[in-house]
Amino acid sequence: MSFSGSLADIRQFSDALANGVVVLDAEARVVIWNRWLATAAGIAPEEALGKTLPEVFPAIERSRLIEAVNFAIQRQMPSLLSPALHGTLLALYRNPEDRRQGLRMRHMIHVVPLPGLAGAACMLQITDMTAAIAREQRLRTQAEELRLSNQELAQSRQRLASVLGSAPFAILIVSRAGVIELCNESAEATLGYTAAELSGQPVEILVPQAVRDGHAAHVAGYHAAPMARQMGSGRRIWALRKDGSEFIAEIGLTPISIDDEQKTLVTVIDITRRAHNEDELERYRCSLERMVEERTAEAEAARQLAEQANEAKSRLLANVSHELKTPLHAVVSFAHLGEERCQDNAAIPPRIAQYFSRISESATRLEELIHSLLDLSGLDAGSAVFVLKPGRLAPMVGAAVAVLRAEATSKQIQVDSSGVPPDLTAHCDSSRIGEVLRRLLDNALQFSPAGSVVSISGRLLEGGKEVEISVADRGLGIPEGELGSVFEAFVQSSRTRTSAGGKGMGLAICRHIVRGHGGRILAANRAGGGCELRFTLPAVDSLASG
Amino acid sequence: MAELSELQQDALSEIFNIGVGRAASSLSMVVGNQIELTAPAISLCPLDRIQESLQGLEFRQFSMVSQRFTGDFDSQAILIFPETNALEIVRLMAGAVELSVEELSELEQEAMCEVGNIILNACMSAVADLLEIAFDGTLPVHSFGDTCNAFLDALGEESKDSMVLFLQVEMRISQHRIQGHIVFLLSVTSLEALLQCLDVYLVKSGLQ
Repeated sequence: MSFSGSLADIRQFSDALANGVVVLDAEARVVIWNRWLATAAGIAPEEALGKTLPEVFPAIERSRLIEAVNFAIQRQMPSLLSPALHGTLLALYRNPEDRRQGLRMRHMIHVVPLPGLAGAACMLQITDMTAAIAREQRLRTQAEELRLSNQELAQSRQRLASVLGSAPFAILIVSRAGVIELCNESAEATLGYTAAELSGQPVEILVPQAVRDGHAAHVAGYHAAPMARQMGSGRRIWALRKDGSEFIAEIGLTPISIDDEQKTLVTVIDITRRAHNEDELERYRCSLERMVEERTAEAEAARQLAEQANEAKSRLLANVSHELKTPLHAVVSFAHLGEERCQDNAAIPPRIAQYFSRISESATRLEELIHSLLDLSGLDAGSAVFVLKPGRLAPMVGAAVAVLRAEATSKQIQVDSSGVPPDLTAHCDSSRIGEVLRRLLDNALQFSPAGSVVSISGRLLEGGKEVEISVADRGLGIPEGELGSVFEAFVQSSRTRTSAGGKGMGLAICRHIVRGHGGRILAANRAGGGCELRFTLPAVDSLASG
Repeated sequence: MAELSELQQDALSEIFNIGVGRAASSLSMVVGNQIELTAPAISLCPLDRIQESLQGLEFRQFSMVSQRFTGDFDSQAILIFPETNALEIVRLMAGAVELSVEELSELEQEAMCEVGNIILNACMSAVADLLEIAFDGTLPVHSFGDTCNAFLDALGEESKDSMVLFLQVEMRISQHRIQGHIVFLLSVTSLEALLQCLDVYLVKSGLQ
């Protein structure tokens, strides 16, 4: 190494350097001691000049530095004293504070021979390594942090990949620009593309041609307010497979941030089958509704028709009955008159009186029939009004029995009404219920053979809400198939129609009255023969009613 | 072409053993601990065959310190250690110096530089002393090489025809035995100059 300049030149420019420069002569005595070193060592050039290094710095006589200096002077070989092995060999300090605390500057020394320079043999260049070491330390820390964060990133990517991979539906990660960046295995199955084929493609390749034009607007709308939502806002969406086929898809959009970039996690579920099922269900539901509507309308029409017919029937009955009654009065009156005249005049043969008697008898029956018809039509027309009051049933039964006692006696039939508890009470219209009892008793007497017993009993039903009255006879009973229809107007049991000559009105009237009370009436055959007619009435707390 | 005679080989072995011996005492002084250095084998080969020699080693990564010397002959001197051993050497050498492990690894390159500097300077000074010649040297440069090719690349294109003086060195520090190599890269003319100097030395010593 040789310098073209003089020692003075070196002295001059070394003062401008930001590291230490010492030049030694062939006797290893200091000839240049620059300003930086004077400051760092706290030794002025005047103090150092002319001295050997061990005289300036204590305790370095046997150090590698001195060996290196000798090497440079004697053999022109340069040496390096690293900060690792000789970092604090010289007592140098960065600032007064460090000097007070004894913190030596970490330095590196280059020992360079100066063979061509008169008056000089070697130069020491001393560099402050503190900043370099700190920088290196920082870099190493950063590198380590980078390595760790890379490791974390790799792990989280792996986690993400395993989550994505195992999901049973297609997942795509789409960049802000609409490019598919990542997809899972299910996406391959759902969309027909391989992951490699999808990667880097615009997301539009999955949008059917027909709606592709409008897609950009939807994308822009999503980016305007990115938040998790279902695509299509409830409308059905079609997606395009690689083979050109389309399927109904449920598409979810979720904004996610990956590597500080806003991306979209897109889930695609093939819901074709589900959609078809829904369609099927919807169709079925519609037809069911239509069917129900039709049936309801039909039923309503039938009901109206029936009501109209019923009303017409009731009106007809009322009219007919009134029209019949007037001429019938005349028939009855004149028949009675004929009978009287026959009795007064012996010349008239008894057969004529008999004729009048027959006319009178028939007319009376006809009158009764018309009365019943009037009753029934009045009830049907809803004109009957019941006055419901708590009333004891035993007196009502007693009255009915009294009315029909003569007939019972004549037919040698015993009426047993002991089965009605004296304090049994019900909410009822007593005159109407009296009529029901009379008619039921009359009915029983009519169909009972001579010498038999008709029993009337009553009881409070379980729960205490209803009272039941039963009238049982030992007659022919009612065929099973007719038990439900005996309460219809003009219907009589087939067994009684011929032999017992009823009018078929009584039970219909009874049913009307009982129903008007909110009760039920029904007929049943008794186990030992005969039939039993029972009806219910709303009960009254016997104590409260007194 | 050039082959070392038995005498030349012995003489070089002797010279380099003196060199590494000096290096060992310098290093021992630095460390304050006994360090032994030996150069048990020396050989001469063309540069392109150094690859084979280095490939014979189990190591693929090298920590290298090189210095260029100019004088009666020119040479690029390179100390090569397996990279895994470099840090170990620094740690062992810095045993007496108060340094944390972190600081050590931070200063590994500078420390290796200094170690290489000491060994190479010692070897070259032994050559200079015994052959009575003089060298100028450059400051040491540290580099890493991950393959032999990288090593060759580091040497530069123009040295392709060079010959290599290849020294196996063994370092022992407190029961640790660390193997490395010293390579002197010599141009054909420099090799001839070296051998001439060597012959002069042998004649002077009355050996030839």
